[in-house]
Amino acid sequence: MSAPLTHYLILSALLFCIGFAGAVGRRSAILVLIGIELMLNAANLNFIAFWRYGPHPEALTGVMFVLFSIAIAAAEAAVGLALVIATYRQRRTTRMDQLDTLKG
Amino acid sequence: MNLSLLTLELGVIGLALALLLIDLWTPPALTGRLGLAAAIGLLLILALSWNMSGGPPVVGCGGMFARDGLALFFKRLFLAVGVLVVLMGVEYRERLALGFGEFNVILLIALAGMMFAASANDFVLLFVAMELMSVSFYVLVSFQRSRLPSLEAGVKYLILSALAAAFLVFGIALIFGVGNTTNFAALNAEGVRLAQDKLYWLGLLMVLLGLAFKIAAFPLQMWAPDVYQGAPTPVTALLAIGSKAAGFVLLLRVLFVAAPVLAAHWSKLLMLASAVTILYGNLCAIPQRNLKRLLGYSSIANAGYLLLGVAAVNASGAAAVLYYLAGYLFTLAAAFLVICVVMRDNEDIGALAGLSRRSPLLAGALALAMVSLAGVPPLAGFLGKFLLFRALIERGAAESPESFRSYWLAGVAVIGVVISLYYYFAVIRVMYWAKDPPDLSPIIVPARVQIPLAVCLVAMIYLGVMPGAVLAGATEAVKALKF
Amino acid sequence: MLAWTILISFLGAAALVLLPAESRRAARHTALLTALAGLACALAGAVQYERSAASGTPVDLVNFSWIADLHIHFHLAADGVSITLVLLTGIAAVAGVLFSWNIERRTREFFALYLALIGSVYGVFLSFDLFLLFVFYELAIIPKYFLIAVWGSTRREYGAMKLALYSLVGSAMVLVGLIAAYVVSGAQTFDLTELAKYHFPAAFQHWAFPLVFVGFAILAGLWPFHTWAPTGHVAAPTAGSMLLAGVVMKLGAYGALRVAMTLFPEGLRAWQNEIALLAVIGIVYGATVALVQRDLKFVIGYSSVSHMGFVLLGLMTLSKIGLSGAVLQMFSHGIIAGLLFAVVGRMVYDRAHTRDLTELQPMNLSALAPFAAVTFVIAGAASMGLPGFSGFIAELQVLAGAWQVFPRLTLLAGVGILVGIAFMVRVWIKAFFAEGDIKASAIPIEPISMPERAGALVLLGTTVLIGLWPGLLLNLITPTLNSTLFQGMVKGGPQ
Repeated sequence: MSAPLTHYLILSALLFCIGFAGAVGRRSAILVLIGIELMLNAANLNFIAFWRYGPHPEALTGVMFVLFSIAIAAAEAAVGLALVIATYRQRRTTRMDQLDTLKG
Repeated sequence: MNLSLLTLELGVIGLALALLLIDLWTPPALTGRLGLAAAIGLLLILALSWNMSGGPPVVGCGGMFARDGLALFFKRLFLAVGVLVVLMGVEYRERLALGFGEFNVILLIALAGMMFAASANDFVLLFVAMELMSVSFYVLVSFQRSRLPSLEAGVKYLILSALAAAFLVFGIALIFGVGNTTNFAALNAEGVRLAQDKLYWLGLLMVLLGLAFKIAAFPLQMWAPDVYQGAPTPVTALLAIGSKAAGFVLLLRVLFVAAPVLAAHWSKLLMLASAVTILYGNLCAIPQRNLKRLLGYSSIANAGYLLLGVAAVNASGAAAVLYYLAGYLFTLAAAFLVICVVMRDNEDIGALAGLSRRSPLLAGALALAMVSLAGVPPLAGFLGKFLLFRALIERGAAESPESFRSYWLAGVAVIGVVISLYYYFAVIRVMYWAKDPPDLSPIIVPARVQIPLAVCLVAMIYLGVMPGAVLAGATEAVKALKF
Repeated sequence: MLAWTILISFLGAAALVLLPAESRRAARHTALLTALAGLACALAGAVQYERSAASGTPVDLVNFSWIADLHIHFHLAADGVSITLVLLTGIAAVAGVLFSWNIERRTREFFALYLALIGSVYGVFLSFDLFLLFVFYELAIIPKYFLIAVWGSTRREYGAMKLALYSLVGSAMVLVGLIAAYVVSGAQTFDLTELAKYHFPAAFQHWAFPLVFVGFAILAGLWPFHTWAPTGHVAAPTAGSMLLAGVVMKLGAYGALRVAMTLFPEGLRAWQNEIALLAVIGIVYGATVALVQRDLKFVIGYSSVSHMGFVLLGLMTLSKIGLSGAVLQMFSHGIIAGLLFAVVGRMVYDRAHTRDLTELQPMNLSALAPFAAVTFVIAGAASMGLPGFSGFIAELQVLAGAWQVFPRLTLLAGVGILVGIAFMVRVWIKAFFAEGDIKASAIPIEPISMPERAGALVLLGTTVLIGLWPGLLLNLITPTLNSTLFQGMVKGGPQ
């Protein structure tokens, strides 16, 4: 237990912001997905830090949530990549700004 | 762990698994029957839910799962949507290319996610239920793999939904960090202490942001038109009704079970979000020509109306939200049933020309749905809006009854209603009085569409004319909430 | 008896929907029978009311709990004011059917919407629960819109949408005001007589009154919110214009009187002068604009704005004579405007295929269609407010009432009457009695049919009957103004 809780929180906040910048700023669907994963992992890091430094580390709520979160993120990534590949087959692109059949 | 608490959810999941198995041995020609079987199964579960009503509220599964009036009201709502959407799917199945069996299974899983959401009493269950829904929807929205609009809608939905989920999880992490628990009841018990911590406010705000995505409210509303337009019609219907209702039950639970102390402070914020949502949805709907896209914008506007009830922060507001959702269910289901049958490859409003002569039943149903959405009596939509306005004005009167300023939001909502008349009436006019409709061949409506359509119509009128029973149910259900 | 008017109209509409689409004759006869039955019920109810309760208090017709949780009742009741307007609706409905006899396109749907509109109008006039009143008021929007948008003429879609949006804006304002009254009173009831007993805080009344009053008055053609009226009237089919001018504008005036003025007497006094000013501007403006119009229907449309200005001015006098004049003017204008629109829309436009005064000028209509010319001259005379017609006694009462409160405005309104005479004379000369170049035989013209004659006689007879014997209606109206519902608003005025 060397680093205090705040260090973890600052790191996770930074990660979250970097992820958000990537998700919003990038055009490639894959990079956007990576950005979102980064945001989710920032949240997970937060959870673990809070759990570890909290008054009740014996209750496993924090770990449990993170496990759920990782599993769900994996499912999301799997479906997401499948969708990107299927789109690529049709449109020969993974750039979000070129997906523009839906507008009105 | 008390499994009897989960009877309804287990029933739906069991039905899904059974369908998955039976599908293996079903010849492709008979898959339509599978859909009918799913609908009957859901109807049976819906009937079972009446067996469970009454009794005091129960909290089980480690405090995560609440079975109270609110949960039961929403579960019935979801089951009813489920039946209607599955029947819609049967009508739609030739257009799905492959995997009608799996389509039904994933649909039921999404439904189970909504039903868990209705009972969520803990942020863990909230998150898991929401993601169960979301991941199922990613697949459902992009189910027509060979149709680019469907795929594009799927990608857009996935990315924005995942983004919203990231905010949600981060918010939950902050709440957990301050409160050391994710349980709603435990958070409420410490409400006054937590309210002093700004980090807690921030966490809750991020959770609300995540929920705003689900209900398609400002500032996370922009996905709705694209996704509604691109997704297969039954999926659009489920998104528009089920997903929105699930978002609202979670919003009600988070605000009025976990954080009633903060909810009162946030009335203004919610009012602002609601006003922007109403104006955005209605104004953008005016120039739309694609009917599903138009309903996407209309769905944003309706999210705004529903938020009025939440922003009122009182029991009549929450009851109005429940009532409005019940009316909205049948109204939208009728509209999407008609779209499913009529708009096979052309979703432009012009394709409805001459519908009154092609099929009076379909034209009448869509016309009634539009009139109800426009909020004209004596249909469900009117009474729903009336109840929402009443709750809002009660809120204003509680602050300062004599000043006109406390009623400004009602003014904005009213402007929205007036604008909406313009595009809803346009749809009706095309059906009945378009000049020289290109196609006048009669449409044969199969019984599996006629019956649910008739149910929707009767329900729309019943809810508008005899609202007593449902309103009493809604009022009873919101007793689970604190204001 | 009176409550049947609503039910009969809606049943008639439902019966029409069930008829086969091709049976035009059956549709017409069903519609006429329904309208006649409604009128018969209205007459019987009026006679019954006058015999039973001379005191003028409201008589309950139907009252049962509708939405128990919200304390909303299905409460129908009638007093002299509402019965007067129910009678007007009955007469206008019958005449409207007679003047729509030639509708060949989707006859069945036309009459179904028409009867639904009539039923809602009856409902508004008879509701004593404000929620119910509002429901009927909004219910009228749909048939109004489609009658114009589908069967109308000049710029019909624009006119229909404008009317629908104006009505909806107005009713939305009313709804906010009503719910606020429901909540603020704490009585948790929409019952008119209950709410009228409650004394609303003055600050509340100061904004609630204009909100609800203007919300209703939009439909009564209150200047500057009148702009829907000319376009709507012009766009509507003949029966549509007849109902719009004859009955729908009265919905607005009736609502303003029954709801806004009854519930918020203090707000009324605070805004009395401003609204009277708007009413007089409407009188003068409507008449002046009518003077320069080329389209005959626009002339009548703007004259409606002018005549409804008298109704609103009469309401603002807050004296018994002015109020009874206002109610009588509602009735009278309903009949006369209906007749004028019938002549212009059905007898002239359907035959000459133009309403343009300069084009009508050479046609010498008085020789081509003498019946139309005579009818129009009589109706025009009634519209000017000449003695012997219902408009005379009504406008006289309004002016007499107004003279005591706003003498200067009353002089202005008098100028409005003079301009009104001028535009009517101009129309007489230009449309009917100009020396035409075209020989009468040059244009083949279809003779005026029996239903048209019957409809014109019904309306003419009514305006002459009330003109010669105003006591028929005043006996209904005057005692009612003494009842408790009107005490709040009349008390402060002179008399």
